[in-house]
Amino acid sequence: MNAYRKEWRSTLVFGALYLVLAHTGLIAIYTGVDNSVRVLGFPIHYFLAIVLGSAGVMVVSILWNRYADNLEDEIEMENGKAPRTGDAEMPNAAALAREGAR
Amino acid sequence: MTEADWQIQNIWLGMGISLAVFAMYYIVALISNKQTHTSADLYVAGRSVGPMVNSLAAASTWMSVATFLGVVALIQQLHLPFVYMWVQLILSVPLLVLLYGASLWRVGVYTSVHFVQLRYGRTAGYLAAGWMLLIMLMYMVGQFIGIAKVFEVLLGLPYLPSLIISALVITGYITIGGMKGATYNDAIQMVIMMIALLVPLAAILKQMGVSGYWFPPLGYGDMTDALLERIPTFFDLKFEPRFYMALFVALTLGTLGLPQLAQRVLTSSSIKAARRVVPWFCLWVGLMFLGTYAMGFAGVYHFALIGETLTPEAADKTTLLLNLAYNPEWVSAFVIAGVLAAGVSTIAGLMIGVATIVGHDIVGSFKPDMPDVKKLRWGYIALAGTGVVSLLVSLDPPAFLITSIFWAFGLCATAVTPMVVLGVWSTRINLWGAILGSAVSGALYICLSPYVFPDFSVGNGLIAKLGYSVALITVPVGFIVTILGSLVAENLFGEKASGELSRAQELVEQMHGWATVTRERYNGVQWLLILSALWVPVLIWGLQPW
Repeated sequence: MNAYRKEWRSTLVFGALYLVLAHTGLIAIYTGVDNSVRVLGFPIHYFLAIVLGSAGVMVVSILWNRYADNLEDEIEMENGKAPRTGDAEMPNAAALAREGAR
Repeated sequence: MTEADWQIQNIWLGMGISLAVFAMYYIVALISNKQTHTSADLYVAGRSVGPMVNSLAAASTWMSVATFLGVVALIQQLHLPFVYMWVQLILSVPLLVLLYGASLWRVGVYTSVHFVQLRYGRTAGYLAAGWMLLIMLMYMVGQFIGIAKVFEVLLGLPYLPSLIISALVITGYITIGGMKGATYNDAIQMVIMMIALLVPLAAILKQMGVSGYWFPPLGYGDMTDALLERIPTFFDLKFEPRFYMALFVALTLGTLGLPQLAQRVLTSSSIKAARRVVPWFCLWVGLMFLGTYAMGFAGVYHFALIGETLTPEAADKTTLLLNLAYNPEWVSAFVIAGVLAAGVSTIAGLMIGVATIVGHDIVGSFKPDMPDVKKLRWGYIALAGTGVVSLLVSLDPPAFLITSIFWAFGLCATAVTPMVVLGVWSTRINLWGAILGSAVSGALYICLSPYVFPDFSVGNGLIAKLGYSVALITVPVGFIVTILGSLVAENLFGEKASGELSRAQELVEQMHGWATVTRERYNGVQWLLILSALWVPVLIWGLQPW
C-alpha cells in the first residue's frame, strides 16, 4: 500500500477509534445499563465512559503518534523516489496561495 | 445556605494568594516580552514551543472557570448525561491535530482564518473571521464575567470594580507577554489547577472515609451505593439516542474547529512536536476531567450525609463548600487561585486568537507588504484593544453573547469545521462552496436557535438552548451545501474554477507533505458524495420533532 492510501486509511481508523472511545453513551443506549455490574465500585457503563474517554483516548494518541511518524518517513521516501520530470515541481504553496488569494 | 457559607473568612488570605500568582504571571510576561522581536514571536511564539509546555498550555486553554464551579453543579443536576457530554470534549485537540492541525503547521499559517484565506481567498477569510470572532467573544465575555464573579462571590468584593480591575490586569500581562508569555503562563496555570483540584480532593475523600482517596480520579467507587440511595436515577441515560448523536455533531465537530486550540498547535517547534502535544494533552485533561467527576460525586455524597439540598446557586460552589468543610482555609484560598488560573488561561488563548485574526489576518490582508516592525506594533495594539473591547462588552453584554458556550460550539461545528476540514482533505472544495456552505448553515443555525426567533426554534428546553437540536440540522446542511455547492460551481464557472482547482491541488498536496504535485491526490469526488449521503439520514433525524 502506498503512503497516500495509508494516510487516508489511518486517518479514518484513528478518527473512528477516537469517536468510539469518547462516545460510549451511544453504545450504552443499545446495550442498556446495569448498575449492579461494577468495576472499581462504579457501574460498568460509567467506568467505561470515564476511563476510555481519558486513558483510552491517550493510548490511541500514543499509537497514532508512532504511526504518523512512520508514515511521514514513508512519505519522505516516496518524495525521494518520485520522478521530478513531468510532474510540476512543488512551489512554495503558501506564497502561491497568497498570490491566488489576492 | 447563604453567601457567607462559601466565602473564605480571611479575605486577605484569598487576596494575598491571588496577588502572588498574578505577580508571577507578570514576571513571566516581562521575561517573554524581551524574547519577542517579530510578529511571529507575538502570534505563534516564534514556533518554538516544545510538546510538554504546549500540551499543558493547550489543556489550560481548555479549562475554564466552569471546570471548578459550573461543571460540578451540572453533574449534580444532569447526572450521567452530563458526564457523557463532558467526556468527549477531550477529543478536541486529538481530532484537530489528526484532521488538520499538522497540515496547517506545514503550510506555516498563524490561525485557521489564515488558512481559510490562503485556501479560498479573502472573502471566505472574512466570513470565517466573522464566525470565529463571534465564537471567541462569546467565550471571552463569559470568562471575564466569571472571574469578576469569583472575586465577588468567593472573596466578597464588589462586582463592577472586580470586573474592571481583573480585566485590565489580565489584559496587561497578556499584552506584555504575547503568545510566548501566554504559553508559559498557561502551562504554569495548568499545574496550579491540577494541584488545586486533585490534592485537596484527596484530603476531602480521605476524611469522608473513601478507601481510594490516594488516587482521586478513580478512587471514589466506595460512594456509588450511597449515591444511588440518594439519587437512584444518577446512572440512567435519561435522554433519547438523538441527544447522544447530537453530542458528536455539535460538540465533537464544534470543539475541533475552535481557533484558539488550533493556534496552540501552530506554536509547536516541529510537526512531530505538534503531534506529541496530543497524548500529553489527553493526560492532563483526562486527570482534570476525572477529578471534576470525583468532586461532583463527593458533593452529592457530602450533602446527602448532612441531609441538605443545595440550591442551584450553592451547587455552583460545591468545590469551595467541600474545601471549606474539610480543609484548612488556606487550601480554599489556593483553590480560588486555581479557579482564577482556569479563567485567565482561557482568556489568554482567546485574546491572542482574536488579536491574531484582527491584527494579522484582517489588517494584514489589507497591507500584505507591511514591514514586520509595524506588524508587531499592530499586534500589540490588537492585543490591548481586544482586552479593552471585551471589558467594555462585558460591562453590559447583549443577551446573545452570554448564552451558553455550548451553543457557540454548535455554531463552530456548523459554519467553521466543514470549510476547514474539507479544505484540507479535498482539492474539489472551492471558494463558492465554502462560502455558500458556511454562510447558509451559519445563518440557519442562528435563525433556528431559541435566542433570535423563539417561534422558529427547533426543539425545546436544554437541548435547544445548548444548540444540540439545531446542530443536528445545520451541521449536515453545512457539509452537504459545501460539497454540492463546490461541485456545482466547478461546472458553472469553467475556467475560473479550473484555476481555483489547480491552485488548491498545489496547496493541499504540499500541506500533506508531498514534494511534487500529481493533481491526483485528494482529488476524488466519490468520497465527497458518500459523505454527503451519510449526512442525509442525520438531517432527516434532526428534522423530526423533539
